Amino acid sequence: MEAQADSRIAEQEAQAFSEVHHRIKAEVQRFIVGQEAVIDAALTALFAGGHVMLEGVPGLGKTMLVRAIGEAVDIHFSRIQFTPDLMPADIQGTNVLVEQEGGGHELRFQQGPLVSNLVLADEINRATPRTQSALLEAMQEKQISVSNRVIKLEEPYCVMATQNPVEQEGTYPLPEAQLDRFLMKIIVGYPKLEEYDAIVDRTTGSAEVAIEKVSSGAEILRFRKVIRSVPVPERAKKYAVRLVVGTQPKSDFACRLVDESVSLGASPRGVQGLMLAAKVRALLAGRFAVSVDDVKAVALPVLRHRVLINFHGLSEGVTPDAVVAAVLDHVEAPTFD
Amino acid sequence: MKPQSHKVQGGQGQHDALRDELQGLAHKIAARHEEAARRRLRASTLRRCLPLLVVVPLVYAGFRLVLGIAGVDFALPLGIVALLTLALPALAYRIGLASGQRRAQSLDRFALAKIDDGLGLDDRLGSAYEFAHEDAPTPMMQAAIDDARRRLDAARAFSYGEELVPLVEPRRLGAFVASALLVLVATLFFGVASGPGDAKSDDEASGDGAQAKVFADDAPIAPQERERMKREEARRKDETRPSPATLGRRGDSGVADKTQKEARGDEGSGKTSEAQSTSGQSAGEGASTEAALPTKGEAQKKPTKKAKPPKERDARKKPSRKPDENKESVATTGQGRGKGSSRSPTASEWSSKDQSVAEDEEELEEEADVDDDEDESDARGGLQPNLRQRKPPVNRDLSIGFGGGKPPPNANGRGGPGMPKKQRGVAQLVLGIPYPDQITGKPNKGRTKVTQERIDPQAQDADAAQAAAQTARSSSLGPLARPILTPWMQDVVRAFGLEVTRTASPLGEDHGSTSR
Repeated sequence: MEAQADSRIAEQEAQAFSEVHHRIKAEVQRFIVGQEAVIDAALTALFAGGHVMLEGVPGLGKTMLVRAIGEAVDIHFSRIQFTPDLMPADIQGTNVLVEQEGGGHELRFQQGPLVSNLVLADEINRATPRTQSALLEAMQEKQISVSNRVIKLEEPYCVMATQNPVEQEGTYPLPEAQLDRFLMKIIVGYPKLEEYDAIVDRTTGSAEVAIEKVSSGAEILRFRKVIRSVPVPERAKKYAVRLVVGTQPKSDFACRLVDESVSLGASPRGVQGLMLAAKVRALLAGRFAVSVDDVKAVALPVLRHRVLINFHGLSEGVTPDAVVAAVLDHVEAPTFD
Repeated sequence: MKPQSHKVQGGQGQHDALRDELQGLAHKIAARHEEAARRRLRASTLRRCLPLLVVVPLVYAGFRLVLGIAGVDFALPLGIVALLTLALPALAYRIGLASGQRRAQSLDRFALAKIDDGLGLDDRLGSAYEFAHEDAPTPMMQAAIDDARRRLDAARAFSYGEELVPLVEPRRLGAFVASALLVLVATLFFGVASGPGDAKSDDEASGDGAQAKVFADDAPIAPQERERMKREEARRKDETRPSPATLGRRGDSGVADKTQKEARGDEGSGKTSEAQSTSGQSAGEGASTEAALPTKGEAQKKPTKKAKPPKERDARKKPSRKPDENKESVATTGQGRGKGSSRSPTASEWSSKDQSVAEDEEELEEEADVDDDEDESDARGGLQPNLRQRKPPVNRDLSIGFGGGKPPPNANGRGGPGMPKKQRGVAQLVLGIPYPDQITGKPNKGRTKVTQERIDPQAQDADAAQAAAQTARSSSLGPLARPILTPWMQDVVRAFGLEVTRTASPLGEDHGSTSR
């Protein structure tokens, strides 16, 4: 009986998660027209406890999407516009000289915008590597070290960064170590033709869209635990491992394109990302265990930024997406045969 | 919600029913799958083994052919050949089956995965089956099991139909069996037609030459052959019509010619007088016809020239020439052509010297050329190079320039260093001495006008540049141009980059020049 009750509770939690996810998504979609896959991926990263890199040309609503998510969930939201002259202290915080009431001055620590729940790092590749690297500790350790001060960042903590794939002049591509810290890299594309009408109406009309807060940080934390409790059968686990190993050149599951065009494949962090994202997808699909299809579905956004193309691949025009697609084609799920 | 670490105690007992149910389903599917897999294995092994049906007949035929050429009669009983023909593919089939039979590691999981795929359940049944084996499933596992239980009805109704492949395609089987039979029949035919026959003809060749002539005389002459021989005879007669001066010397040869025209008849009557006179040399006690070939007079003329041994080519042509041996031959005996050669020499002035004119006159002409060369070589009193090596002749163009009005290869049409000067000495004038008639040097002894020179690059040692000696730039560098490369320049840059990458890194990786 106890097992039956636990099972029922688990089912209810999964159902609640699905409902909250749909509520947030619906709220964001009041503001963002189309881009359903992008919204799903961003919310997946938020619930899975990862960070998101949104890449797309200007004007596609990347910043607006993150802002909408920040408004739909009752969490602290901050936005950092990355510029070439931005310093680490500008985002982490620094000691400032403050005039005391009784006269005199004192140094007081003023925390930067990195101390928040949802951080929008807009055009992250425009800041110098020095500033970019200031994000490393915050993204992985969920803390900031300034001088001898360590600030624990409050959960849920999520960095959503945007970058522009064109206009690379004057930008600083993110180092591999930082890219690896993003759970997903989402490519934001142009809206569909039929979506343009709604975009025009919503953004140029007089009516203002107000986003309601439909969830909270505490709720997200609760659902993170639910997500982590989703079991992974042996088949899906092995398949995820094979996929990650398949991106590594000269490995057992590497295809020819990987051997020729990839200099660095995904790390074990890639498997972690695959599993977490697949768990979210399984729950959203009404299942209580991860399937191979879940792993397949999240492989591209999870692995594309962890694949490093070598010079040969670049000269041949090979993209990370093509490599991941080739790996998905090449690697087969275990069949137990 | 309890976290995953929380285990539900005693869960396994509750899921026994579901586990058994899933197991039953899995076994049903697995049995069908195993049968299909076994059939696939048998079919694929059979497909690979079928071509082996023709191996033994082919090898046997090859053996017979080779041994037949070598003059060895080799034959196996047909039963043994047929047995071996069938035994080889049968053995390969057994080996293929033994190596291909692998025990399925987890047929149950495989079968449930098939049901999941067939019903679009996204691994629900497979996952539940795995979780049902857990000692203490978590609540989420429990939920997955319950979820699978709700879908059992659909799984029970699932019918698994794996297509059973045919073991062997009849057309393929028929083709290989027919091929094997064809090769076997061909081998048998070869054995009957050429195996013992060759041995017999060899015996004839080395034995009685007169008997060989009987076979040759008995053979009918084709009409075309008869026409050709007539024409040839007439031509020779015209060429060798004796002049009044020589008429007296030749004496009775005209009579011999006349007689030779009638030489196609019975054995005795067909022989010319000269043939009769020389026939004893070759027919004597099976002596070698080669030794009996030259007449006494010719033997004195050319003591070093010996009749050539029968060539290998003749041996290879034996089977095809076999029917010709029965042709009516007008050859005189003792021509040195044993075993009733297909050559049909016509009587001519050569016949008086026991020489034959064969069908392949070119070959004989070549041999005559060789003889002429040897004669010339002897006449010069020394070893001369063989001019019949079909090598390009030595360039003996002594004209100034590059020969044949060709432009100089290394200059722009204005002279300059080209081919080395040619020596105009004696050595190159002596025909046939393969002396390199070129010496290295400049074209002329005097002034030369060098317009172009080809110099291979050579490494030069130089001291390293002193960094301290470098002074600061006095003026600004200015704006750095960033040209947009044209496609061909991009290709060049790409090729250069690839080359640098390949040579720079032994691992073939270029960590320095990567980007995402």
